[in-house]
Amino acid sequence: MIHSFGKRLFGVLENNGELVNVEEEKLLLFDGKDFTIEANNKSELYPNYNIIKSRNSIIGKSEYFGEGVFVFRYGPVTSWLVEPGVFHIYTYGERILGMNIDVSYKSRNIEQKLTGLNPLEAIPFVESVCGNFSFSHSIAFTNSIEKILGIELNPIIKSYKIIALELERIYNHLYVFSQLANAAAQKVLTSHVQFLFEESLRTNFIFCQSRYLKKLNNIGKLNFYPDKKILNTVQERLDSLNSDLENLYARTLESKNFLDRLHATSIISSEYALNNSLSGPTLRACGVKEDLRQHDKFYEDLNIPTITFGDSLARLEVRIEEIFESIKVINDKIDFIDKVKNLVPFEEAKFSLENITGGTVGAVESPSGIIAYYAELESGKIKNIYISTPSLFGLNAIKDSLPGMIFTDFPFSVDSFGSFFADAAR
Amino acid sequence: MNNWWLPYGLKKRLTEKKSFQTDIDVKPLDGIFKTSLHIYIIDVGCPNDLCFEIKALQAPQYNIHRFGIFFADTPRHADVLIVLGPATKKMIGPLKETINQLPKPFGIILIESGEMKSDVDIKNIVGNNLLAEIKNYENPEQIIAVLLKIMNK
Repeated sequence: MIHSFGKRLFGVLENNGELVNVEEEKLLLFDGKDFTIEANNKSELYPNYNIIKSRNSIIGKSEYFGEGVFVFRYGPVTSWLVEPGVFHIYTYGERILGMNIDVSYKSRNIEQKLTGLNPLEAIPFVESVCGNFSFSHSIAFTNSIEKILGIELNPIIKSYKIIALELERIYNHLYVFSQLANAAAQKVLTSHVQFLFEESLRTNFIFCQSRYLKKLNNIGKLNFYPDKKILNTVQERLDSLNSDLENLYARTLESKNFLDRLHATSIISSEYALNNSLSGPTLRACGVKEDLRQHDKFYEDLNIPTITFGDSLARLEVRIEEIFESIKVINDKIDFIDKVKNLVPFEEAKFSLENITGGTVGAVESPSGIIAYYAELESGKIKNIYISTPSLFGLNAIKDSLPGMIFTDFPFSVDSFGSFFADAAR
Repeated sequence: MNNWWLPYGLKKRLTEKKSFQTDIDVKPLDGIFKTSLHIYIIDVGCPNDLCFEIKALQAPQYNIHRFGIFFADTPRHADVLIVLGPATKKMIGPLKETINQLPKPFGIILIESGEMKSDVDIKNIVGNNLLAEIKNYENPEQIIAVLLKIMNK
């Protein structure tokens, strides 16, 4: 059942990660458009409350008993899953009965390390939460600081930030595509998609001298504005990516062997997705047309692809459709910058962080869902910070959707959610 | 559309012909790995961009198999361990155990990314087995150049 009051739980704010009494907790809630912070007087209504509370250790408390049932521990050192996470899988041989996921091996206590820093000093640390979402994390953080400071972004600066966000979406989606192709033993397809993945990282480097779009974002501005020549090169490379991917995607959809492996694995219903705060391509693959970008006036005419089946194949299809949409958005923004650069005054916001006090939420639609930062400043320094990441809810969905599947389905499920331990464990 | 993959792939010629050079100091490994080198990856707490870079290293632009470089599925089959840092405290035990499983002679490459510092100094754990340290990581070409130097190629 979808809970009646319509808000979804994205975080439980404590005091700098220290456990506090339930009455002192505050809830980070999302109504489909905006985030609010509310006192904790109804946490029992949110099915994912306990998952959020255990986000630094083990997700899930499953236990299964029966003849031949044992726990298969996968991780933290494996050749397939390079990241150090642990899957505790209950099985009697082939079928998965249930699982718990330990994220603590990658926990770096980043929120505590950010406390006491000036927000400008904090940006490189924020970019280190999850390297493949570094720009999204950075944007969510600077959004919250810009809100506290009352900064309205110049349309040209905003357009540059949108281009970088969409570039991040493209390479992440290509990564998931290549992982799924590899998991399904489609070696030729894998090579072609890996080629596009590497090319997209090189496009990022051409755009801002960083393959992962680091050291680019700043509060109210960018550290670097790519010139017209660079933007034209980016456009040319994206045109080439567009046609190559169209060709590959058409071939992929004709490969019954590939489709059959992804079809009907790890099905997520829209009710489950909403109740458990899933967002991004995973939510849209269960038919829910929700995307933070649709409320942003700078994303005019954004097409939001949705599919209703909710399985691994649906999640892949949504991601590939989103690549085409991201290319369109980038082309629009480059044309916009070209058109208005001489007409609109190009001004960076001027601000001082001295004596600034206040707290608010900044959020962004990252490649795998919503990243939200609650940042609280006191005298210009970070007093308290909370990071809500889509990977925590993605890993929880992996845990809940895999039971009943067989071991062969494991990589299709895990890869299709695009969830990462670095992002979940922070 | 031609549904046959083979001609589609062959006409693309995705592998790049270039030489891979680096100024990074590299300790060669015994001179017995001239024709092939098997590598194993362990992430001890990196911010995940390095894990993406390891995937990028497998892209056809680099075609590392032509140099005899292969990924091993277990440390017991590996000649070189690539450690992706910085390290979290909880990964020190698994790192030590992984090093214990490597067959001699073996070497270790250390790559770190991001602003975080390791909870524990990885170099103390790796000791004399450290062949190279990539401090300012740029792209997969650097890794290939280091591996080729280890192979004396």
